[in-house]
Amino acid sequence: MSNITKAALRGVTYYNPFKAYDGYTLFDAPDLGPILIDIEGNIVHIWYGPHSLTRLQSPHWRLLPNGLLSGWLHRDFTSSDRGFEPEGGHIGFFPERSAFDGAGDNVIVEIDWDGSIAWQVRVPYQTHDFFPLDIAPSDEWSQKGKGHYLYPAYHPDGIFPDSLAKKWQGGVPGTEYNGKLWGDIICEVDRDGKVVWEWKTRDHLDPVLDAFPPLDMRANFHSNAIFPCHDGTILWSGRVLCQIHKVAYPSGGVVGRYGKGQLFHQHDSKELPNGNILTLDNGSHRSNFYGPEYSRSVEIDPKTGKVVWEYTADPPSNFYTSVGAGSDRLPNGNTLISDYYNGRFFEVTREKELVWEYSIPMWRQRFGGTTNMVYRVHRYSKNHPAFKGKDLDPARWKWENLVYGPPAWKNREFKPCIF
Amino acid sequence: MSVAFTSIKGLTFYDTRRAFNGFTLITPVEGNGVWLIDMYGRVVHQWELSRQPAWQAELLSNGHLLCHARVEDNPLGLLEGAGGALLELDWNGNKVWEHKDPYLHHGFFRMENGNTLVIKWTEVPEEIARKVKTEGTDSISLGRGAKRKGSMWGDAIQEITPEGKVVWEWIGHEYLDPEVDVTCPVCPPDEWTHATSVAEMPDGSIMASFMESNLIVIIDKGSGDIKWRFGRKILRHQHFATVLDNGNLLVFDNDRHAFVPRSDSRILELDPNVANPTLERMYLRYGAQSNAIAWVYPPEERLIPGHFFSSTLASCQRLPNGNTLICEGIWGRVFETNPRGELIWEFVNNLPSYETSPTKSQACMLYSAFRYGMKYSGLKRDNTLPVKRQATPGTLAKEKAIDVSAKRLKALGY
Repeated sequence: MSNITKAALRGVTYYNPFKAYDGYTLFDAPDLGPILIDIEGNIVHIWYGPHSLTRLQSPHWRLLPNGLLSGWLHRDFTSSDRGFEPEGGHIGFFPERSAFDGAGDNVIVEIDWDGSIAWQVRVPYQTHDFFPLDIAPSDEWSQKGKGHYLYPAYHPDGIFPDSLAKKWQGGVPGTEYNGKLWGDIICEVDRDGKVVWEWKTRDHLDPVLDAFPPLDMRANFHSNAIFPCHDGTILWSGRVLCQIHKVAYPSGGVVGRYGKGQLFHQHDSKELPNGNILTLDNGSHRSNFYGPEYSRSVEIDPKTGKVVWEYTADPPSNFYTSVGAGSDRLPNGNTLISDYYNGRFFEVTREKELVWEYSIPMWRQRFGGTTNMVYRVHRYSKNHPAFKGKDLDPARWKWENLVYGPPAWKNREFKPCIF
Repeated sequence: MSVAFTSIKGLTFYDTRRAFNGFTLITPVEGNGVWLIDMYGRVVHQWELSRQPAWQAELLSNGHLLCHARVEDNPLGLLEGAGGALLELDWNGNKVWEHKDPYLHHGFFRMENGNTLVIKWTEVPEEIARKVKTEGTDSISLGRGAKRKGSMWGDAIQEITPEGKVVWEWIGHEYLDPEVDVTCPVCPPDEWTHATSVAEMPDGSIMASFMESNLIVIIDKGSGDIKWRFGRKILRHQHFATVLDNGNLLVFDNDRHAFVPRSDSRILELDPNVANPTLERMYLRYGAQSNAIAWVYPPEERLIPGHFFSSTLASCQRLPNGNTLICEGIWGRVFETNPRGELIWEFVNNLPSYETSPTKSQACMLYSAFRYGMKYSGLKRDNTLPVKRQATPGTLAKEKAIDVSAKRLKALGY
């Protein structure tokens, strides 16, 4: 037991019913798999499947309009009894986990309401994120690429030739992976598992404009998000580059770079309905700065490249997640943020007022320790087509709610332990 | 605002049998007070300074408080850690000694012989400053970061007598190697080493800890040569280092600007008798390993990623019963842990600060915390001294603070 103040309060620790966006929150609960909770923290559905002892744990789950739940599964190298064994066995993985986090012999799945796998596709070397084109913001994407998926990968096909790697500036010299700069690629895969489009960083990035920051490893650009935009381009976030790139599709040229000098190891960049870019600026290696480290949720106007809205905690050091995390803009203008490294979600208004906070009560063994970290979270309106006709009564999950729901943590007063 | 992490304050955990019982001296970031609290988090004594503390405060064995305070109109006031005056106050707050020097910053060390070791900024000659390398790639050639505006500031250590006379001086740029003792490309470019701690070893050599260079050195006092170097690529902007009775060093390794960005601080006990410290397991989580590391907190089997982290403010102290007192400054959390890494005592600063930014006082940040045992000679037992403030464990203090109006406290939510 180490930090009581960070572990003692569980569940919904703050809720303003007048300002929070009422809906169902979807996330990957450690040890339970994908679950749906209501705004008060009651578990209303868990996607238990036939894999009853081995939960399907994906860092990121998304609900599709047809009611299926899609996510990406990978073998967790630090705990061998979790994860997913793909057909045909593993094809290899990266032991140097820090640079190639998440990548491996991965699979994208679509599971139905009772947890059985309805469809799966093998996506070797995929990492960090995936985007089902069915939920893309424009009809052009979702019709042309019906059922297709976009995903970033650290693929051996994208390895930089030595002559190009030598030109690439920055980073810590000598930290290439086995002497090679791997770079990243984005793939589009169809329903049959065939890769129908590829984008390689070695073909389109610039050795000077996209140089490595001073302290990063020269192994890859650490893709962590892709998002198809209204105008048919793709937003790509490579955390190491500390910028967000806009990539033309399908030609692949880089048509925009945002956030240089403003973003530091950012995660989860996406396009909002108003055309602005929302991202989470983690703040790791924030340059020229001695104060306590802090993270912020940032909205950038791509036309000017300027930050038009940002959320920092009060004081700023109260919200700092060095890696991971994500933010979502909700229909009422609030922003839902997952504070990855600290194991909590919270929702803030445009005026930076906290209106909902959830300290994740489920824990599991990960990263060589015990954590309640959850990578991404989404909140869906109660009218989402996936919930039509479904039973969302928390009483179905009586045991889980007794352990992880309001009966376990609500109205509990903290008393110091003195003995 | 973060309800889950900031609502629980005051004393939260106390194992009465295994704790090193005594009183804890804490220096809040905001305000002019230095507080002495008991094991239940109640204030038993306080000192009110005319200026804000800049870094650490120490209770001497004669009951005097020695601390480093800020000076107004300090030419270097914009640099982080700037102070300018070492103050020694008696138990009742009267100033008995002062040493003023606008170049003073961060820590100090009161020696056995009554002299004090201090850290000062010095200008690095331009021909040396130009040669200073950075870890990784330097930012300027990458077109990022800021160019240096004026001089490059390095560090010097002085030993001063109570009369203020300098009897020993060590100037960093005369002994450090600009190519080996690199600086950090991400930190502001005005400083090379950014020393934070200095101390005297049992054999008379001097230990200095440089934050920006991720470096701890042991200096031979006679020649000024560096006898032992540790830390490059292992430490990650350590903010506090101290010397133990057995000759080992105890360091608060913050985890800032590391190769693998995370937020997992650790306390390291280093053995300076290891002549050539190795460097192992780099570029993985939780910092690199070395054969010079004798003890680490948290131990790997008790690790909860993200739960112990302070990006800047920090202190650590080895207690006589073998436990370690750790101050996780940015959260205002002070805790005591045993050699196995088990929690023995935990206190989160719940004392309202005096002024300026209400946001900082929300977090109740602390610069440092030190524990003094029940029998420590510096603790004056005076039955006429009232307990200035009572805070029941786990709740916020309700009494009026000195010099702060009731209206102000109400606005802060007390």
